[in-house]
Amino acid sequence: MTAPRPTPEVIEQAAFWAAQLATDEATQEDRDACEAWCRQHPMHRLALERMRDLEVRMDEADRPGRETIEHLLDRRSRPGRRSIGAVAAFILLAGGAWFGAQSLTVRSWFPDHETARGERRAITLSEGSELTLDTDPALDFRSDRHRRQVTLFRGRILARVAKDAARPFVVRTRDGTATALGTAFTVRRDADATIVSVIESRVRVCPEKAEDDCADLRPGDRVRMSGGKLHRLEPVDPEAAGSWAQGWLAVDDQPLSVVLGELNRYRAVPVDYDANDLSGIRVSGSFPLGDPDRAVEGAVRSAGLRMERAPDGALRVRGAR
Amino acid sequence: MSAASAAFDVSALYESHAPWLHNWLRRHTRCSSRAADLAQDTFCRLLETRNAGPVRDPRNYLVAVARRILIDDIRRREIEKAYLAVHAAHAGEADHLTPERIVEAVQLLGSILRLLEALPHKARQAFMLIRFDGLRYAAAARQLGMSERMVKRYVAQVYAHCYTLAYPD
Repeated sequence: MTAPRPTPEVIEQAAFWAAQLATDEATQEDRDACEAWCRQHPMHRLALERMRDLEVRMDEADRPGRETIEHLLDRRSRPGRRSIGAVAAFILLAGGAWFGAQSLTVRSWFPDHETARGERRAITLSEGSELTLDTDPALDFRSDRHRRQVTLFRGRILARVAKDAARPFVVRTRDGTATALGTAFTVRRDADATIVSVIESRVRVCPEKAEDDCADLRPGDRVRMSGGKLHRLEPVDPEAAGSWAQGWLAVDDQPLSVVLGELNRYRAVPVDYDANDLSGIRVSGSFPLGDPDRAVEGAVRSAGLRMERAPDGALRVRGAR
Repeated sequence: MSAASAAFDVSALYESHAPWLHNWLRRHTRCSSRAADLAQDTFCRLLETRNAGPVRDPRNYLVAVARRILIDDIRRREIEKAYLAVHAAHAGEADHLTPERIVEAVQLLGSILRLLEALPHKARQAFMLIRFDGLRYAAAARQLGMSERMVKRYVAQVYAHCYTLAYPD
């Protein structure tokens, strides 16, 4: 004879008892009351015993194991570099049972996955779209029957969107949204603004709290969204806009300070420079993001400058005097 | 569907799509030998699951299976790296980690993580203080800045959540 499956109510009650007895503050009275509840029905006892089995499993983890779990769950606050290893992202794909739809979370707390500072990673979503993630990203992706949405908290992504007329593909940041039906575009969320560049086909951008000011963008268009406003930026070569996803930063007559700032995103140790010092100096070229030192060297040399090494070992660039 | 015809379907898939799948996996792992292993694992997984009838969109199907295997592989590596790093950080404790012990630990930690990872932050914090750190409710309440009753409720919530995951009757 088997006990019937515990109902949600029974599970809730068993959980109550498990919590009640979880510490050594539990009294004999507590234990007696729990036993009395178990005796009420075999389903009760079964539920509680299963919870105890889970406890046993967790207790099996030794101290290093528990510490590993804590690190992986980012329980401790992390002031800068961790003692354990390099900063990186962990891609978590949660299945349908929990959310009723596909969802994906990328956070750069978890140790040692490949989108560490300086790398890029490609993810294929279940509906066929592809995201290329730039260094140090943080995003969520949810999809259900009506829509597909990426929430980008930080970082840059290139989205190659699989066509699905029934479900618009939306990238949302704090500054607004970029919606595509089936295109390729990049969205980048920095400290105070979001920049959207279109590579292929069309994208509709809507600043937060100002949906009347939406704009339909075409390949090469670039906008900056911030504080409910939309600013059109200089158009770019659509190929160049996505070239970082291939591992190159393609730059066409940009200030060196801007290029160095961009390359620093891929470096664990940033290059030191003074934007005022370098004002008026512009560069063009393609710099390999996979080799941050060569990239910086290339940018600096093409400006006719040299790099110095400061006493503390950091790299520095100075304007010609 | 007999085992023989299920195997036949898989070998047809293999012939038509194995190189393509290997390439797809290589783009996501950037390591050719790892991609090869994972591709093999994917086809093995297919052999284990009995499929009723032909697959309508073989590539999508392969990718769906491969993705799950890839995710599992990534998770295992994450856990292993983190576990080894913790051991290295505690270098003073002479601990003899054999490959078997590592595999065991990774499996155990993986199963525990699966139970805990999808929890809301506060609930999980409460649970871990009580269960992993062995705090009493009073101390946990102080640390979290909430009442003992709230902490207990969170802990119960986590028990119920873990139960539902572990026993999805």
